[in-house]
Amino acid sequence: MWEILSYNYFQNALMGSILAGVGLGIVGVWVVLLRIPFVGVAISHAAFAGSVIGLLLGINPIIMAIVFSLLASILIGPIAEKSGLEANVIIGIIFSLVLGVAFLGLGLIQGPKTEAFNLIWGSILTLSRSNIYINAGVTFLVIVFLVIFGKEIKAVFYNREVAMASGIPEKFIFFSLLFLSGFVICLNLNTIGGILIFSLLINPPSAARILTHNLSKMYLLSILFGIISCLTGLIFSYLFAVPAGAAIIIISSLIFIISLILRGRNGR
Amino acid sequence: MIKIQKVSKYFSGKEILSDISLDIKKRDFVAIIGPNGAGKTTLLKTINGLILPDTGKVEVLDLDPYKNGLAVRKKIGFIFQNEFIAKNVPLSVKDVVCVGRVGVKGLFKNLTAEDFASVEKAMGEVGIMNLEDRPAGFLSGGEQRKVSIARELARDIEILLLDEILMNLDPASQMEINSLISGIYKKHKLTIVFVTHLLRYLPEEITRVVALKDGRVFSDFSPRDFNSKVLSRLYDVNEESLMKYVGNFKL
Ligand SMILES: Nc1ncnc2c1ncn2[C@@H]1O[C@H](COP(=O)(O)OP(=O)(O)O)[C@@H](O)[C@H]1O
Ligand SMILES: [Mg+2]
Repeated sequence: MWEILSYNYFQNALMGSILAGVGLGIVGVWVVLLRIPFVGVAISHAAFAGSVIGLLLGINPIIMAIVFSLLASILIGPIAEKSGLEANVIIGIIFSLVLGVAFLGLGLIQGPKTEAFNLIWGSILTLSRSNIYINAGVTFLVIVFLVIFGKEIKAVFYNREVAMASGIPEKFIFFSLLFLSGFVICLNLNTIGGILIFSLLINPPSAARILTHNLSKMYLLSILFGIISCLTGLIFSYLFAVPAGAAIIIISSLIFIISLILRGRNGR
Repeated sequence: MIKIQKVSKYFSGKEILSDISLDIKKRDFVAIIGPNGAGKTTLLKTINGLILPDTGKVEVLDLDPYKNGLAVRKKIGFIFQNEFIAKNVPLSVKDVVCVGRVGVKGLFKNLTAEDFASVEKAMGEVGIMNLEDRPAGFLSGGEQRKVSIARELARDIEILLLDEILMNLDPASQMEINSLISGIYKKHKLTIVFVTHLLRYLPEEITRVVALKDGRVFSDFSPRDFNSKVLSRLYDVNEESLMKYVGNFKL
C-alpha cells in the first residue's frame, strides 16, 4: 500500500488533511468558546452560493466562493454590533440569505452544476498543489495571529465587555477571529466539503474541552484531534474505498465520544 | 479627575441622561444611587468612554475618554453589573486576574514576571489565593466579585467604577465586599464611583452621595446631609414606609 505515497494527488491529500486538522482545530476552539459554532454552516453555504453565482455569471466559481464566504465572515461582527443582536442571530440571517441565493442561482443555471456541488461534498483527492499552498498560507496566518494576540484573545473569551473596558482593542480581536475563522472554513471546503466541515470544526475542540480545563492544552488537543481525524479518515477512505469526508467525520465523532467516556471515568 | 459637563444621551429617541454635570475630584468616594433605569450604568459607561454622549463633554484625567479610549481605560477599573463568565471557557481564577494585566501591557508583549507578581499581589490582597486554580466559571457570587476586584486591582488604576457589585450577595458577603472596597480606597489612593441600592450598607469612607433620577442629578450631598426626605422623593415612596423598609440608614 505504501506506493500510494508516491502519487502526487495522495501527497496533496495528506498535506491538505494535516492543514485542515491544524487550521480547523484552532478556529474550532475560537468558535466553540465564542459560542458561535454555526458560523461554520453559514460560511460554507455562503461559499456554495458564491460558486453558484460564479457559474451563473461565468466567473471562476472558486474565487466567487471565497469572496462570498469572506464577505459573510466580515459582515457578521459589524451587523451584530450595529443591530444590537447577538452574533448567532446574524449568523442565522446570513445563512438563510445565502441559501436563498444559492437555490435561486441553481434554478437559473442551464449547464452542469457539479463545480458548485464540489464545495458541498469536498474532493480531497483532487486537491492541487496551489490549493495546498494557499491553505498553508492561511493556516500560517491563523497561527501567527494566535501567537501574537494570544493574551487578548483569552480576554475576549472571558468577557468581551470587560476586555473592552480594560483597554484591550476588543473589536479588532473579535472581528479578526470571525474573519479568520471564515477564511479557514472557506479554504477547507474543497478538502472536506461544506456539509461535513461542521463536524471537523466542532468535534475536535469539544473533545479537547472535555479533557482539559486549560486553554493552551485545549488548543493543542484540538489540533491533534483534527489531524488524527483527517489522516485516519483519509487512510480509511483509501483502504475501504469510502468517501474521505464521511470517514473523517465518523472518526472525529468517535474521538468526541471517547473523550466523553474518559471524562466520565475521571469525573474531571 | 472626572469632569462631566452638561452631558445628555439618547437611546432610541428617549433621553436617558439629561444635562448631567458632575465634577468628581481626586480621592472622592462617590456613591451613586437612584431608581432602576435612572441612568447610573449609562453614566459610568460615558466615564470610561464605552458610550459617547450626544451633547456635552466628558473629561477624565484631562482626556476625552471616547477619543482616547484605550489610554483612558488603562487607568480606569470597571466592574460591571452582573458580569458574565461563560462556563464553557476554560479559564482559571488566576487566568481571569491576568486579564487585568493584558490591557496595561499593550499589544505585542507577553506578560512578564512583573505582571504575574502584580497578579499574585492582587489575589493576596483580596484573599483569593486559595482559589487560584479553580475554574472561574464555577464560583459563588461572593467569590466571583472578589475575583473581579482582584482583576481590577492588578491593573495600576487611578479610578475604580463599581456597578451594583453587591447585587445578589448575602449580607455577610455584602459586608465583606464593602470592607474590601473601603480598604482598597484607603490603601491605593483611588477615586471610586460606587453604584449601589443598599443604603444601609454604604462603606463609611463615602465622601459624597449623588442621586440620579430620570437621567438627571436629583441631589448631590455629603453623606451627613442625606436624609429620609430626599430619599422618599427620590423613590417616590411615602417616607414612613420607606424608612420601615430601608431601616436605619444613617450615613
Ligand atoms: N443600549 C441601550 N439602548 C437602548 N436603551 C438603553 C440602552 N442602555 C440603557 N438603556 C435604557 O436607558 C435607561 C437607563 O439605563 P441604565 O443606565 O442601565 O439604568 P440604571 O443603571 O440606572 O438602572 C433604561 O431605561 C434602559 O432601558
Ligand atoms: Mg445599572
